[in-house]
Amino acid sequence: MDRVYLSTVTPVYRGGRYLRRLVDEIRELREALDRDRLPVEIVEAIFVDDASVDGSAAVLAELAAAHPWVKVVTLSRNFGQHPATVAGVLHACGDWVATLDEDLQHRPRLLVDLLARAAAESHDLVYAEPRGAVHGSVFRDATSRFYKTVMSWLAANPHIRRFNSFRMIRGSVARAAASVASHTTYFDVALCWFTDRVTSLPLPLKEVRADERDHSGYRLRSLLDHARRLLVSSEIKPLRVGGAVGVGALGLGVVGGALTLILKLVRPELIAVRGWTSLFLALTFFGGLLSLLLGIALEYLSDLHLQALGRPAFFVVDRGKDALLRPLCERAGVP
Amino acid sequence: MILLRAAGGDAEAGPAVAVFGVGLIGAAIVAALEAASALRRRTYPLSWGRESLLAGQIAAVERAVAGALAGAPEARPGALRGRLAFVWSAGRADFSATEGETAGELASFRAVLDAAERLAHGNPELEVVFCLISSAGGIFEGQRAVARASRPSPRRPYGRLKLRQEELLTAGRAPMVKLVYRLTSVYGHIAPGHRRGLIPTLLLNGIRRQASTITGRMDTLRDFVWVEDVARYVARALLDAERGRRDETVILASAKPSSVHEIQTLVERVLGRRVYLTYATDASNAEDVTFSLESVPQGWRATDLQSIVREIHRRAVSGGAAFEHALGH
Repeated sequence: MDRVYLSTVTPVYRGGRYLRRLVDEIRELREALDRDRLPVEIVEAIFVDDASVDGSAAVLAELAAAHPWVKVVTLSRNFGQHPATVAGVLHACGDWVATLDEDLQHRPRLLVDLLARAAAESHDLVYAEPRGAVHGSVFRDATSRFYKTVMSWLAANPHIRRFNSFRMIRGSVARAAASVASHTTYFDVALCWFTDRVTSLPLPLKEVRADERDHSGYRLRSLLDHARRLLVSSEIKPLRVGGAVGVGALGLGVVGGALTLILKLVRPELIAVRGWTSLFLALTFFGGLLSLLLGIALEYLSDLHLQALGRPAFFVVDRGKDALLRPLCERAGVP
Repeated sequence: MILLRAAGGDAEAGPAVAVFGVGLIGAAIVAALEAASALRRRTYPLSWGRESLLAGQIAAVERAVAGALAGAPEARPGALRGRLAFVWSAGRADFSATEGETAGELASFRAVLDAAERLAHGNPELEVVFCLISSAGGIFEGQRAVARASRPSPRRPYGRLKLRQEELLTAGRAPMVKLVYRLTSVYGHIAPGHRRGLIPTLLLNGIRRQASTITGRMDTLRDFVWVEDVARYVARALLDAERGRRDETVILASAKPSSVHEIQTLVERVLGRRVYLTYATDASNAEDVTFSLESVPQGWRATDLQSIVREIHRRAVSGGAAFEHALGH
């Protein structure tokens, strides 16, 4: 039987106490998919040890020894969540790649819903959309929402509002985005360079750490680093606005200058101050010209920056296998 | 064919190794053997594809091997001692080969295997090892996360040839150690006369600013292994008398799938510029094949792809005019 292969990728930093439960839940899902004869196989569960600090490495070694489908990728030092996700994705071979956190905030049983949602309308990327508060901190949820909304407007990318680390990605798109990602690339922004068939699915996500009074793997510094990456990776609208202002200012300078010159020639008595005309002409023209040149330079810089980050000219995708997932859509109740 | 023998000619000094096929993999195995042990080499030309000539040449090789083991030009039949290894890394057939092309190659393999079996049967004190370089991509084509328990299911003549060679070797009743190494996509340095594969081709054409044609898709997944990693592993097995006493059929893979797009991006980063690509529209070689970490043997280590691509590039560009001359430009 032709099957659809699913890989899961989980970056691990401070989640040793949750890993056994997480692998158990993935195992249960693997068995359920097999028992229900669904055409999906979780071919591997990849855990990326991002120089974990709580003994996770030993737990992962034990889990990998017990389950041949558990694969451990060990990073040489702590690189952060996005680089760890990128490393995991580059080791994945599935037709679909699901990324989920280590701390059971993202329950493996929900993967079926995400996959069904993706297959139903041939989306390439489905984000989980939290129903209600997630982090157990109203302030953190609100600031995260606010920042994403602002960035969504600045970068003219409506998908930024949906960004979430619980995602189901078409394998080829995931690997392509991961292969161009540099150390500053925000993985989700890179994904949007390869697809705009992006959607989200409301799901119950709840941070277990908050309930168990455990410290989050994310400290303020890493959250700020996330925000910086998002800013640096995005194409920022104000750069374009700068260029447009330059063109406008130059046009205004030329028109205003011409009018002032005509006025000086036709009705010189209206200009009382000597030298004002030439000063005004010089200021408006060269001010406008400088703004325009600065706008062009910024546009070039932005283009070079995106090229350096790896934005592709095009990418080819094969969605032919989505039809195999019809039984999964029916089971999940997705039309 | 290259015959390697301990420099002193002493049977106790180490094995004699006959390497059939000195293309990319065979040449690397010879180099690894020479690096690991003091060996003397002798080359014997073989007329692959010309059965009438080949039989006589293989008989001559058999005599030379026996002579090398005995430490004299003419060996006394039945009294050979020591250790003798045959390495089959020959073959012109590739993924596009027809049944007819693979049939000739199978006949050549059979002739060499027969020679090894004759020596093993005829010399009770001679320890014979036969090492077959097989193709994991050929026999597991289209399968993903291939594990130790995965069943071979070749889809084209090349894969069937490799599987048949494995069967002939493992089913043989001669008292010899049988080593089968199933390799994934092997890549090596850019060198004249060697089959290049995706990575060296992209690098070479990128250096020359020429277009490369890809006979797959951008998202086709492959598993790449560095030829020197393979050569070192095989050489260790041949030189290590303890390890080389057990039959072994293993997959040598990096266990990290890489898409064509990923390789393209990596090569572009190393070159510092874009490479020109065209894609063949009838992508008959576009099936994914990937391997799980569980499939590889203990003691096998695959070097990181990025480091090797940088090394291939460094060596190519530092070669300068000599490099271009060697490639015939």
